[in-house]
Amino acid sequence: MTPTLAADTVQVRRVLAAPVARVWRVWTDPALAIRWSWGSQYDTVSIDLDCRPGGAWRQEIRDRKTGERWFFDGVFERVERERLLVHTFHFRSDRGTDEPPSLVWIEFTARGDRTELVITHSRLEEQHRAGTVQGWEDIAGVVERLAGEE
Amino acid sequence: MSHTAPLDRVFHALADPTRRRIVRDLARRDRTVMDLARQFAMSQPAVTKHLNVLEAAGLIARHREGRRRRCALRPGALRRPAAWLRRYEVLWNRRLDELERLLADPLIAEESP
Repeated sequence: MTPTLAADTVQVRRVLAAPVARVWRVWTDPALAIRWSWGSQYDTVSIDLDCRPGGAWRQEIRDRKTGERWFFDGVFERVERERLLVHTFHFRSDRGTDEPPSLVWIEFTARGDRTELVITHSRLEEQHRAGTVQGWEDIAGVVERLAGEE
Repeated sequence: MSHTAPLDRVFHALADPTRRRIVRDLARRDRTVMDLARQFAMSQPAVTKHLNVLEAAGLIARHREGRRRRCALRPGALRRPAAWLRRYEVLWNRRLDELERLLADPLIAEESP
């Protein structure tokens, strides 16, 4: 069901001290979603959240220190209440970053009065490819350092 | 991240000075086994042995080109889990920290089921 854990994927898992209905609500209700963001250093400027299959989401946040604006958007592909959200994920900033779309799975599992969340962010491969030159430099750098110790 | 080779395999592969020289050489350009044998004054089977270890560690890939096999460094073999993806891991963990903070807010706990 979940995309396989390939080299283009990150997965984050957390058990939250709240029942699944509450976690779902906080995640999917725009009025609540605007109250949590990407970290205390960031302000959520605006949020649009049409949480149904084919519905779009969009979020704008601002870095308090640098003033940089980040824009996230995507489309919900699957919405299963209190169980699963699958949406595309596109990130750009007002400082020139514009990444190819990737895919996010968010799985909600009730664990008594707690909730386990598993977030699987995949299709990051394209971005990795875009960074190929850097990758080569890195590997060469590591080897260079190792070789230098001989 | 199953397709990234285990780190100890990578370290083992790079623990050998000849293999490090091969990797360094491939970082500049692709080579055939014959090229490498000539360059490092080794027999082709000896080079192949080293290439097997490097391939198992996910550091290089071999492609057949007619009768020859071209060896190429796999870009990102070391970098991928380290830099690029970790950025997203950090991002999601930061979001979950925020979510946890909000869920702990007594008002949220009261107003929803």
